[in-house]
Amino acid sequence: MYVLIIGGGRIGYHLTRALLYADHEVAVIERDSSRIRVLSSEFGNIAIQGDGSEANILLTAGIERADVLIATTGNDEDNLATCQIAINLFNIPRTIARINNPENEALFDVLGIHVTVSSTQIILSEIEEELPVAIEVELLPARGNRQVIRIEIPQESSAIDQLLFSLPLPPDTIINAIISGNGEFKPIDKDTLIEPFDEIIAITHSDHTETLLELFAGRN
Amino acid sequence: MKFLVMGCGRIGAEISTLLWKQGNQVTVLEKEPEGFARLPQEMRSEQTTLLGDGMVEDDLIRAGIRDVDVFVAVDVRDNCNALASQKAKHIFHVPQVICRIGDPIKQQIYLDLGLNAVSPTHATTNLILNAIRS
Repeated sequence: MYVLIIGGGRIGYHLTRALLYADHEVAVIERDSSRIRVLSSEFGNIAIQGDGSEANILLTAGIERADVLIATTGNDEDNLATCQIAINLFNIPRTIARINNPENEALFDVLGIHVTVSSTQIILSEIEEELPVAIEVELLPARGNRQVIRIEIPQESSAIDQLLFSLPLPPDTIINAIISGNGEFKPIDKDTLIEPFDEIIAITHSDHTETLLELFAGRN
Repeated sequence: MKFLVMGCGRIGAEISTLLWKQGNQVTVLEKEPEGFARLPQEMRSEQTTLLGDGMVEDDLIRAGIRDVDVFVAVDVRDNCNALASQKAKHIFHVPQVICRIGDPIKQQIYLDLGLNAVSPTHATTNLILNAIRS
């Protein structure tokens, strides 16, 4: 798939990395030249500098052949305008907008922005800022207002040395896989112990994303 | 008639003043307090101004969006006008919504979406063309 990402901030960056890793073709439109340099040095020639809510810049980025557009900037008005251009001018089959102010979700829904990623992304970035260590987290939207979460257990996590099923997992949550630090799948059963550098793949309802992240990455 | 005007730049100030002088009830919503300096003193003393963000529902409600007849979005930023106007139209069901969109491509998109989008770019171009012809 060809995925066009608008906004190369923290969320755009992590999305780009995850999508490239999954062998998708990705282009990122970003206004800020310093962010462009970060993206280019990390991922090669995939970043385009400009205003992603302008039709001409979207054309430069090859929007006409994009399968998905994801608007990840910190401004809801820009994300909305970008998605509306993508839908109404370029007939993009799927647009996803990050919403920074939760009250805007109703409007995006009415306007047919196909998927909206709710404010959990913001909560996530706030959690990341509050944590003493940079935690490795990625989120992908899934059906039923759920999110697929990949998180690496930081060394300071209060979940370490706890049995997985002794943790107060939030409702509507499935732990899909745990990959240990040495790259092996860990069996998931009543004896599963959480260890540093475990990579947890889980699906949860958007309402519980924050709880789940705190459970795995929070300190005592 | 009751008007809510978002944005107190040159256009916002001029349109608000004109509407107010015609005897309408006008509220001007603007994020930057300096913008209100463009309004005549006697208009400002009548509590016509409100500091706030026209994209935020609480601020729109404080500005009386629930019972205005017309919402006018004339901020300098197209995308802010588009979001606020669509909120006024689809969330608050304001009877008449007018939205300034400078980018002609976006203007056409929003016209197609049923928004009353007016373009200063278009208007200025026409004025210049007329001036050339005369």
